[in-house]
Amino acid sequence: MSALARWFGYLRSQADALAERWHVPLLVNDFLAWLAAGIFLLALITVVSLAAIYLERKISGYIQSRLGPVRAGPVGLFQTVLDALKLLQKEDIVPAAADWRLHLLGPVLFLVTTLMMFAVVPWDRGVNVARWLDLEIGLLYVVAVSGIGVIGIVAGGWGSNNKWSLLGALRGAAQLISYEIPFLLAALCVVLQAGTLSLSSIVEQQQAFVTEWFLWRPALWLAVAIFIIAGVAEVNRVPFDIPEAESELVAGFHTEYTGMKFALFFLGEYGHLYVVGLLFAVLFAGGWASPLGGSSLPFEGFVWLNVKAWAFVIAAMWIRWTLPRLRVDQLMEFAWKILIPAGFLAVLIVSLALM
Amino acid sequence: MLEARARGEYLPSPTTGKPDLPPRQAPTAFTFLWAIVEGAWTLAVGHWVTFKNFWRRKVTEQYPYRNPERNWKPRPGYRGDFALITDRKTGRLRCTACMQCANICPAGCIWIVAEGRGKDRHPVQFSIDAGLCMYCWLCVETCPFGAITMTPDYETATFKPEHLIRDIEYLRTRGLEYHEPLKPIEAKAQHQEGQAEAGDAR
Repeated sequence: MSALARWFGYLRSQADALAERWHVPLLVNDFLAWLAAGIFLLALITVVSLAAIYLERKISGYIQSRLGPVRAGPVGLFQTVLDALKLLQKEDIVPAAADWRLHLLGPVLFLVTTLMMFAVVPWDRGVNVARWLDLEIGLLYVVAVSGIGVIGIVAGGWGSNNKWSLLGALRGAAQLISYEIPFLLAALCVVLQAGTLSLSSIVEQQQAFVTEWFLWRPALWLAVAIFIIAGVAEVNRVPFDIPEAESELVAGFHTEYTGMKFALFFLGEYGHLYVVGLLFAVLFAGGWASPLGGSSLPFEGFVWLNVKAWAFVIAAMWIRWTLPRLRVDQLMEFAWKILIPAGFLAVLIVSLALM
Repeated sequence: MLEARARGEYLPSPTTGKPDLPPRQAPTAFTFLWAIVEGAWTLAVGHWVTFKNFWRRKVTEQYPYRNPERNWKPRPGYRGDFALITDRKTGRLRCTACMQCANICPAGCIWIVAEGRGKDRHPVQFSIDAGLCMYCWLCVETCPFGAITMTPDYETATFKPEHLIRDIEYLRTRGLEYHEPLKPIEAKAQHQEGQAEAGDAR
């Protein structure tokens, strides 16, 4: 049991004791625990998105021989916070001829599905959002939920009553569903290797020692490459960012969004990037396992998981500011004609290696 | 020509006389795999370039918060704020309110109220709206007396558009700070003086 899990267990036992004394039914206690977990995840995704946006601006600046934000706070650290506050006080404009229900549904659905993906990530030994969300089918759940996020994009594009938004949304939907297949195939390789869909079990099989991580197994290297490519494509990042296409479709499917709804799209996108980073860490890099040996400090597993996830995020940003954008037909051709056969090949290689 | 190309016939290009598309070769397994390896290598090289650039010196000039000792002045001849030049010998403005600059200004941003006749003619009110001005330098070019000019001062932002209107006192003060370029004959004389002094010092 990690220190984090013991800490949560302590909180839970205290809450249970209080509930007994005040004659509160245990259902309410359960509900409050769920609420606490939900608030924790919301806070996490907000902080993560703010940090990711700040990192994006600084890294892109440094790669482009310029400084990025420097004025707001030391080294510009408060820039995203101030930007978020600025976005909050903007007027929420819905186009007059647009379907306001769909216009509202788009970012909400997009963000909610991203939040749902956070729920099954194992943060530490024995910690899975307060320990009882250790789904046996964790990986399947994640991929299924990311499929639902596509509906959010399409709703946003249609509900904007704007040709560019609709084109961007449809391209985005096509890209997302196309790249889910190699994403799932790469994850399937890990499932074959580990023998389970449950994310915490996959992590526990990559215990403690660095050499046991799946990243170092040669049979899985093709799967790693496919996972990285398909993962970056899943998040609509360059070189796969045709749906946003900052220089082509105005702003793609989030052209007509202002203020808080725009902020929700951004939160969802960077949260999704972080989730894919977490998945990479969990599936290939040993999750919360420290490369130095057993974890003894409190929160150490959580910290190591974040280190690995943020390494993936920074690598994705590096890729974004290096490579040009793929055209839509190149994108689809790459997914269907190259990545999916490569995914099947990866599954074949892993199966042969495991025989 | 597009239809011919679609049919598979590669017509000779009018400039070179050769078909302007290469004959297609069926990809072999080796060329396919080699193309993948080559592609991955170019991607890796690109990433190495951006990685190196990450650590290089940044070119951002954090004006005006850093490097205050740096000379942020632009070259002479820069079209910044306006000045009316005071004649060094008489101590009065060179301007005789001949209205040449006001007439030629394309934006119509110069207003002059004149007084006196002949040698006593001088402007009483001389306003330039620096917000309307397009900084075309026509007023400076056309002035027969060299009375109006533009200084290399660009830090002239104000909070209200009314404050952008330069009146005669403001322009006169600016003119006193301004060092006008010499007339060519004066420049030659000064240069010869300088050479003579240097000769004496040696």
